[in-house]
Amino acid sequence: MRPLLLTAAFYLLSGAILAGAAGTVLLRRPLYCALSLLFTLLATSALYILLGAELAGLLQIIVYAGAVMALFILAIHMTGQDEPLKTPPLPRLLLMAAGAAAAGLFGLLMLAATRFFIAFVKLAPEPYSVAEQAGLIFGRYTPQFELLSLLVLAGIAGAVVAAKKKL
Amino acid sequence: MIHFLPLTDSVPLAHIVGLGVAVFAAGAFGFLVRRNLIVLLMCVELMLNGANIVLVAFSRAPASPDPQVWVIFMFAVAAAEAGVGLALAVLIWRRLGTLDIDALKGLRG
Repeated sequence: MRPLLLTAAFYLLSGAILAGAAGTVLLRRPLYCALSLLFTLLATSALYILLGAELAGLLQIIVYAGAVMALFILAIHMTGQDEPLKTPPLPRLLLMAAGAAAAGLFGLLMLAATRFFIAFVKLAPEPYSVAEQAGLIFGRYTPQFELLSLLVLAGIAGAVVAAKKKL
Repeated sequence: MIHFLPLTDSVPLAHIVGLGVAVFAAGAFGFLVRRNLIVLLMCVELMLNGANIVLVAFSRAPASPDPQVWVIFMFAVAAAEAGVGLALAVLIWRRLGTLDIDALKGLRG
């Protein structure tokens, strides 16, 4: 019974993630898009935990679903632009071209990964410990970690400079 | 030997990678067709999320903790991107009074 339950949970979460992604792309009001994206991110964090990436799943809830989405919703309310845009919709030909481009991208990426497809992934495996991942972050990936702190610093400085009326 | 719905406690790697790539493609489609600047940034987040799903999938198939560390690094990149991107969106809204990217014609020759 339990393996069946795990498999069912995986496919239910996949459906939820795809539905949320479709909602983000297709809904007309920006706030509904944001809520749909929030739903996708929460379902994705559940998927991470199901795949044994518990630290990534919990950080996804804190950083992504918490901080980043709060920023998005704040920006929507701050600009007060929560109505669908008044501009006429895109021509049908352009929409079809964009759809074909996205479908082509999907096909190409799947083709590139085909040679790994004999593998199976065990659900709810023993997760890698936080200590093991911290050992990697502060061991093998220390230079990348330091570069990342520089990136975040540059982001903070850029956001402050951009938001100030006069320097 | 790819069963469609295995009744074991494992799923084919192809299904997880397909999910991640589908989320990525949906984000790319949205980036091409939407015109509200904030929604465009949300589509970029969707694409990053799809890439993260693929990374988590590949942390299990050849078992290795490294891709999960990369996912954590991606969170920091996404947070920085959202911070700068939304600051720019607010700046553009203050200048033009709209978030429609069709109004951005300053660089057109």
